[in-house]
Amino acid sequence: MYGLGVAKGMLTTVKHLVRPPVTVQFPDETRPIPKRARTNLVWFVERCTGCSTCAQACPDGCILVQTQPREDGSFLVERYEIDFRLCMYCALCVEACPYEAIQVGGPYNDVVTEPQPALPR
Amino acid sequence: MPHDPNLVPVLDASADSIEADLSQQLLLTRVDAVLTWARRSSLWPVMFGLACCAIEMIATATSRYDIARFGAEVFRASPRQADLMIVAGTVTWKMAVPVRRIYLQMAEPKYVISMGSCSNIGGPFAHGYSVLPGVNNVVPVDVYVPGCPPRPESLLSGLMLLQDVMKQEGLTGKRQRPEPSGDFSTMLPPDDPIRRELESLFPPYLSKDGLPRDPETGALPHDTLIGGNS
Repeated sequence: MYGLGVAKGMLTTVKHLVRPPVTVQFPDETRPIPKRARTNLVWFVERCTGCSTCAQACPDGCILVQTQPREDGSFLVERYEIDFRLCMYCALCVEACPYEAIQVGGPYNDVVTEPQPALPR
Repeated sequence: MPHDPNLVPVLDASADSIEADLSQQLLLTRVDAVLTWARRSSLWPVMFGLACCAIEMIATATSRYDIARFGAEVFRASPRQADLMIVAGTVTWKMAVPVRRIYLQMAEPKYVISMGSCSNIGGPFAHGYSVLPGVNNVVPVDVYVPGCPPRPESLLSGLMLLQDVMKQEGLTGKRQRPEPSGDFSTMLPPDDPIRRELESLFPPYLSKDGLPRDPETGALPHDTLIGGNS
């Protein structure tokens, strides 16, 4: 049977002709992130109690939590900073947080032209 | 004509006066705008990757993300033909010398993207003995892309930011990025061979042993400016 290979090849070509392109036009549209992907971190101020469990769970020590005790015994979170130059995006802080105050899924456009000031060593 | 030993080969002392002359002419400023547009629309990166971030850099070049939409798909194997260096991955002290060498071999104008936490500041290895604490100690960095590794979208964001930076620099004519000092005295011991080799790649480009240039020919005793075999 001659010409079968040519027909198969043409079938593939025609398939690719009518198929929509796979390219995601990034700045206009983004791909959905997988559910358990480890990406940038988002911090929710209204859920955070200032317990610093995330900072203790962080292997790099890149989370800085500074709190002030209130009169009723809770904590007022004065500073909450994550040094994304040190962060290795392991999401152990997300697992550790008992109040789900820190979650994965931040924005992509966090690129900078200057390095932020370094943590004291 | 004998070569002036004080003249570093990569510098051109007469360039400033020529540019001051040319900036007065209206036609050439329009040419400059077109030139900046052409440069930022065809940023060819050097093809080298150091660690896992390189996998994401390769994924950025695939058809799903398609870095060719920004004109940066031609990964050149030679630094002479490249405009952009994407430092993708952990820069160890041993690798810092080739990174600096590749940067010096690239033709002006050249741009550097530091990709990933490891090259930004050292990442998880920032307190270790073998990893460079930030690639900005070796090469001047234009854009820092955080992530471990950054997703391809983040690298594309960094590329777009670099194009914006180039647009601004085309208008003002000034490079904003800070140059590295070339001082490794706080990081490496004085007799370290890697430190000697790194410092030989910074101005005034002395040899690895700190020997001065040949007063007759301007040549270094051995291991010339960018690792040639003259």
